[in-house]
Amino acid sequence: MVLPSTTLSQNIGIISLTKVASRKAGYACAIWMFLYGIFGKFGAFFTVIPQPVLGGMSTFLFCNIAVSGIKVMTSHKVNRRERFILAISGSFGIGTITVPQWFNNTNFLNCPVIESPAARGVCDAVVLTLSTGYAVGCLVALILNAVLPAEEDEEIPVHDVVVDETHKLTMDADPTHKVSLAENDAENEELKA
Amino acid sequence: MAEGKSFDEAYGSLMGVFMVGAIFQSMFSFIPPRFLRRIFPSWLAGLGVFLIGVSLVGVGVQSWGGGGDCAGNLTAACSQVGDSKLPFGSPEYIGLGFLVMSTNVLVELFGSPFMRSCSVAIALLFGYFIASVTADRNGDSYVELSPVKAADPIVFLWVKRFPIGFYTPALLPTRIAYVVSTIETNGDTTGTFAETQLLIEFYDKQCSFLTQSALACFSQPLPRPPVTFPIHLKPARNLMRLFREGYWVTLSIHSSQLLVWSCPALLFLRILESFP
Repeated sequence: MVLPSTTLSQNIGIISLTKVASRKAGYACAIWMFLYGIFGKFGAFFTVIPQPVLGGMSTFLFCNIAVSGIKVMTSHKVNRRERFILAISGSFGIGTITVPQWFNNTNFLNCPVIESPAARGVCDAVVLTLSTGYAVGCLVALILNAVLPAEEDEEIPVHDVVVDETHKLTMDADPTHKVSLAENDAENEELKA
Repeated sequence: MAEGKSFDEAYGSLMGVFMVGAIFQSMFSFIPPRFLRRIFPSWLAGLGVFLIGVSLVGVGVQSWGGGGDCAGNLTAACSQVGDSKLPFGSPEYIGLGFLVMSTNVLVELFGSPFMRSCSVAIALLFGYFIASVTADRNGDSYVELSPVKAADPIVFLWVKRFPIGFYTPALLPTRIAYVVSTIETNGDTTGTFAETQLLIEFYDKQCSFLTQSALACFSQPLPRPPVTFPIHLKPARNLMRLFREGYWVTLSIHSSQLLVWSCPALLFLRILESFP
């Protein structure tokens, strides 16, 4: 049974772990997969891997994807509007993932009793979308991103930025960072004046 | 099959539905990069990657405990762990998964740089090896060898022809699945970018081209074997080359898509004609 293909998320985790993203490595993999496809014994060897063994590895790889996502999300400074959208869409997305029966229950939408096949299909599709965490999360985020007006770049006072940076630097190195913060404040006040 | 169709006919109808649904997804690849960037900013794509990761962790933990088939029913025996028929979450199963994960940690601790690069494969194969030479409390092996023995030495998958049909109720679910797949492709492309040390600022300039290409590439209406993610990503010194290639990849894929589309488009016209 071969259905139309889509991208395979696990590979992001593999790239981040192995640090290999070369196209040549991809070609080499393709040759191996071709051979596994032709030589049935090879393919069967990999299909009989016990589920717990596979699960121990794939859980780790899947969590790598989540970490990549956090990395992408926070790769630049998230402003207030983006934070708002992330929080709203995240509450739908993470909520559906942690409690799958939230939308996928017969009290919310009772699809099996619908007789018309077309209406049943629509109902099933709605439930399918609502009970897929990343679908509902991303759809809400897409809509909010399109609807909410763009925020003008906030004027960040020089004062705050300086204090923030000093704070970061001195937290690690200097236990007396409070003193240096206070000094900085004093300096900034002077600058402003 | 419920409606008196044979498996081949049902599969053919499914292929027909996918052919039509794929046109929809391919349309996304024609959105100009400027708009694509506005629709999918990098932080939004990051949210997609994060949510995909979180939901997949659940799937991973399910197979760790013994497989998705017995995760919902704690008294049933798991059927995907070879001859072993223990219920979900048996200590043996948890231990096997933990063995793989701790091997991974040990390789990371003591392995050479090369070994660390292969830690995934080493841990998986070591766990597989231990699972194949041990047995559970009932003396049943975790690895069932009969599928390997029964498998044909050489198989060809591409010699079957299915009767293409169409199953209307599946159209809308497929369409939504394609939207989901589009979001996922976008997230995966961004994730690949992030993990290959390419700056995210670069995403805004260039990634949209590759996202376009990926969307066009993966929305091929004709079913084919699973594909892994082929976009090559080299360090920043190759940016200009990538930029030029990005253009050509997008253009060439689009032109090939037009050819591939003509088939589902004809099918779509036939379907429109068949309505009363």
